[in-house]
Amino acid sequence: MIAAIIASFMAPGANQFQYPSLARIIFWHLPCAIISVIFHLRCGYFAYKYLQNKNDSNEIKMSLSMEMASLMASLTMITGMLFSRVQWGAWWQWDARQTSYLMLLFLFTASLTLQAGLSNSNSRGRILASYNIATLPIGLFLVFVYPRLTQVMQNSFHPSQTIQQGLFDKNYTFTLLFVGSTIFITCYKLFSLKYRVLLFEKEKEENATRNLEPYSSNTTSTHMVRPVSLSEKN
Amino acid sequence: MNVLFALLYKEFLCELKNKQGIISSFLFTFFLVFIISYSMAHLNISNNLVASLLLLLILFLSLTLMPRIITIEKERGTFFFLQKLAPIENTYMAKTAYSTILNTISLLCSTFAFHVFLNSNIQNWMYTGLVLFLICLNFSAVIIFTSLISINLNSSWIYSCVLSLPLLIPQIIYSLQLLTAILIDRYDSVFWQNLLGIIGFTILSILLFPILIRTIYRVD
Repeated sequence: MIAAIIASFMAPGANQFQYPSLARIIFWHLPCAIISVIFHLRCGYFAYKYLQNKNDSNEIKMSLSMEMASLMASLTMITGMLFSRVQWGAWWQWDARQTSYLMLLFLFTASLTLQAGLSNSNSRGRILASYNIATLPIGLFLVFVYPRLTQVMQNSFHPSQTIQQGLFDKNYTFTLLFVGSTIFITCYKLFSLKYRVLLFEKEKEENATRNLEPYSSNTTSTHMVRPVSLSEKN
Repeated sequence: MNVLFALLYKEFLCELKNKQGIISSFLFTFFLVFIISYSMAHLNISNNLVASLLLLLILFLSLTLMPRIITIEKERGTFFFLQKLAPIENTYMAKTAYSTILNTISLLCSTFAFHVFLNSNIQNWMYTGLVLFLICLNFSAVIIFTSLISINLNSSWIYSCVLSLPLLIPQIIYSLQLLTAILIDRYDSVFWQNLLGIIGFTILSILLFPILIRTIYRVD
């Protein structure tokens, strides 16, 4: 991660911008946006898998993917707004991409609200998975369709075809790939670390419940209970 | 299919008996239209603003009345019997159809009132009806879906509003564009593009949400 930070500062500034040095924010802004979409897609995939086999691990992965997607979308918003303030003169421009990302953030927040509001009931996973699947087409629409709508595209300042048209400098492409893959690996590590912790917690909880079971549900226990006086210690 | 029609028939029969939904939706929309028109009467307002107000009206109407269709069943205790008698996806479809019809009629009337009060430029009432029907169908599909979720969680209707709004974002975007086009009487390629977009989301909602609702209410 330190190497990625150094690499992003070593890249030359883009002279076509008002503040060439701040154009380097793209090394963090673009990967965060792409990774948030990847995690949202993963969330949809795990939601579908959960509905198929009701496996607890898929439920945890689904919730974690949504959390990571929200985190990355927030970072995209922050870096985008910073760029907008410096290069275009205002924190908020009503730019198509900016607006669509804010709406995406609303979508993620609603899913997180539902996640937080659900108690550990039987239908928790099913409701969460269904809602996350319902959010998937909306998320895809906001990222891939809405910014390209004819009436919206006309008013956009956001550069969107730079990579496709090969307008990136070689240095920029290399640094972008390096920083992007570093962020992705860090996110994935964080994801798997939290997944392991949550899985462990869940197993611990299940074990605790299982240990209580013979006393609560099984009334025909084979164990003998002998009355012991309080003074009878060793 | 028979179950679906039986449920729809039951909805209309209940409505005719107590007339609660019709009266409240008509009173609510006409009151809002009157207030908005009265405050705007002497101002030179643009068609974009009228479209936004109309959309706001649709949103208000949908978010306050549509979840009520479901919560009233829960309050009366009839939702339990509905679950036992018919598959939940049929209940969902019937409720969606019922609220779509009710809201489309109510909104057509309120749009006409807007047209009269604010002298709008609406010429083609067939397209207006079609657009309002599609908007209502979309909004109903999403709001009934989230209402069924909040009922399953024993939460209030506000929870369903919180969950609905993000799911309604594309519909709101398309609706605003379509209503503006209707108000300025311009049916160009952008109008058809937006109409196709909202039809796409309608098809998606109608196909996807019943499956998800069935999954949520499935008893293992």
